[in-house]
Amino acid sequence: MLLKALCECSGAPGGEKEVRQYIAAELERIGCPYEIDNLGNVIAHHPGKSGEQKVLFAAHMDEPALMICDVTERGFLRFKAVGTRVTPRQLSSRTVRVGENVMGVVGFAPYHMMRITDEQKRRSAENQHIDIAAESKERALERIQIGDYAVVDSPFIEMGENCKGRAMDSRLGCCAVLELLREAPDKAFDVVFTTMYEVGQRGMEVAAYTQQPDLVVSIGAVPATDIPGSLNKEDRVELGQGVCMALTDAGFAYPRNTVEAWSKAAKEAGIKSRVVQYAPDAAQAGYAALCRNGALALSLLIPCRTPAAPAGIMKKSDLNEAVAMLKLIAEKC
Amino acid sequence: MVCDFLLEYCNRPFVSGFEQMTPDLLPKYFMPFSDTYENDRRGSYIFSKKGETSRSVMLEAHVDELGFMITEVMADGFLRFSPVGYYNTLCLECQDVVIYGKKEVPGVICARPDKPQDAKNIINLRTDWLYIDTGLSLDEVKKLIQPGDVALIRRKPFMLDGDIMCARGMDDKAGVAVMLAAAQELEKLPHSSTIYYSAAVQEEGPGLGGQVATYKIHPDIAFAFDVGHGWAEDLPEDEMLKLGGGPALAIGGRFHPGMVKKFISICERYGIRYQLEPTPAASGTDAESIQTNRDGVPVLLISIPLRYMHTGVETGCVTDIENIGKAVAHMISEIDQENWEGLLCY
Repeated sequence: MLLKALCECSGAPGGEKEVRQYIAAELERIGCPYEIDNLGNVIAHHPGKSGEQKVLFAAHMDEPALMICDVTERGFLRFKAVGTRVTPRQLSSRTVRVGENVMGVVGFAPYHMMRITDEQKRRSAENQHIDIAAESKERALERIQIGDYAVVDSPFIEMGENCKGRAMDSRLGCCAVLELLREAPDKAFDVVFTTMYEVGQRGMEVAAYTQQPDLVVSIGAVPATDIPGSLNKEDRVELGQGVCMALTDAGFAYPRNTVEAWSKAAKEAGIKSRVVQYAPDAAQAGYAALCRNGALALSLLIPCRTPAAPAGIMKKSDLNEAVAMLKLIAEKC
Repeated sequence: MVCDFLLEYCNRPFVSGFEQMTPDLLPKYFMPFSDTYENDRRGSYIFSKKGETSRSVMLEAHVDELGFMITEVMADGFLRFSPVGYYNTLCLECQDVVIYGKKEVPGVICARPDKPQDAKNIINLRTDWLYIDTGLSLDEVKKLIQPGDVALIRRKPFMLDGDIMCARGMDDKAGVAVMLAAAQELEKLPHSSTIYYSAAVQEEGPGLGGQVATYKIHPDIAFAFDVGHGWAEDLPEDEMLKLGGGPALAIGGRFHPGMVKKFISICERYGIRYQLEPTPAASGTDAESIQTNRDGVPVLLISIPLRYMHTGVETGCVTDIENIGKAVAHMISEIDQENWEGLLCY
């Protein structure tokens, strides 16, 4: 399963090597020409008839991650969060992969000792440690080095109609555009798998400059709020609602007529979709739309429970609807 | 072999109170070293190796592990749960679980956004800010899961590096592994007492399976094996054990001074590093109920150093386990050649 393989790749912001290699290999299999640019973006060019608009589909490869910043005398690793979307409390008592596949554990004080440890302090990334069972600083540095990335380890599991996995926020989008390329219509378009989304959308900025699109369509995940105790009572995003189109998000207000036109087109094509008023994470389309003279932008989102957390849950049918939507856009432009 | 046993054992469910979820595992490993096997009335696994004398030695560890129990299927198919045993509930967010319903159902523990958790919750084990998402619809969930079903953290045991193993439920599967290591070692050594291996149920939580099993066995002396807190970064250094530092011997009124002295001399003779764990009063282990069983049983408590106890990533050292087994086997072999009156005299 493509999504499973993608989710199992590591891809820290700036350390996307593993996921990039996987995507490049997949493009080889599909037979789609691609290049890797100066920032590590993978840019694929689907050949075909050129349409009215030059379309660029974008998905980011990187995930929230950790960086090793120090090793204590007794061989435990200190780390910092890479990007702003790491929730330190979700790291406690979790396994992580450090550097070149060194297994580690983020420990947690035993129940019996909670009174004597400063609980609040331990809940920040800077005050947790990764244990790689090294006896000393020297022993630890034989296996890892300062500056290595670490990513959370969490198995990909199919749960009925749904799937649960790590790095869902980015890999859902990568999976959707790869599926598009597998069965793409005979139209020319470009696809970019970007780097460093989590740390300021660095990859997207450069890719938008080099590709000069008329329309940028980014695909990512939107937090589903169909969970117990959700604070978003209005505009509930649920798994199974199909592909979502954002009117606004944390970074951009999308051109209303573009969103409405595609929403209408989706309906006519029988694609399950909905418009969301506001998405909490700034999508790449909005960012790319500001490049050079500007471009039209559309942010497609797949509902996913806690997409940036170590365990995101999505519905397979939503991914299929998103692929159908991407195909529709590729055909019509 | 001890390592293989632990890798298999830690991968199987033994939720406290539900120790018969994997009934065949312990017999498979212990029967080659035993003459008899039975489950007592509470479900404890008791193996024995007949000796030539009427004296009996009991090795004891608890077989159960921490887990969860489903308490409610919510209207939208999500599950509420409570911990079985003293789980540190603050480290549960985003953890994978397996629910043992009509079949094994995977799930994830998630946090409710409307209930911020605070440190107070840990002490009283509150889980009302957490729920389990199985990704299934209400109908599917109802078909497979009902309140009262148990669940466990999903964690495939693995070697972190060298002989350091990370697994779920090393408390007290490491203790049972010590018994296996001792059984293996005793094969090579002369001994004459009858040896009992008691893997007792329900140590986690208030239940005391060890009490009943010990009454049934009625041993002359006993060794209890449980885990002790291993030092990790950011914890106070004093009174913590060192991983790889060897057996941790509890010292205090609960433990027979003659046996303590003997164990230390054995460790020194065979070059086994050991550490001391001063325990002035209650130890929080099965050694408590063993000591006061029937007419009283001289008991020794040996701890296996373990990091991150009562979380899903309990981390311990396999060499420690093997060394404890070795030391205990040598001690049994040696005292069998002596008069126990001297050993057990106050």
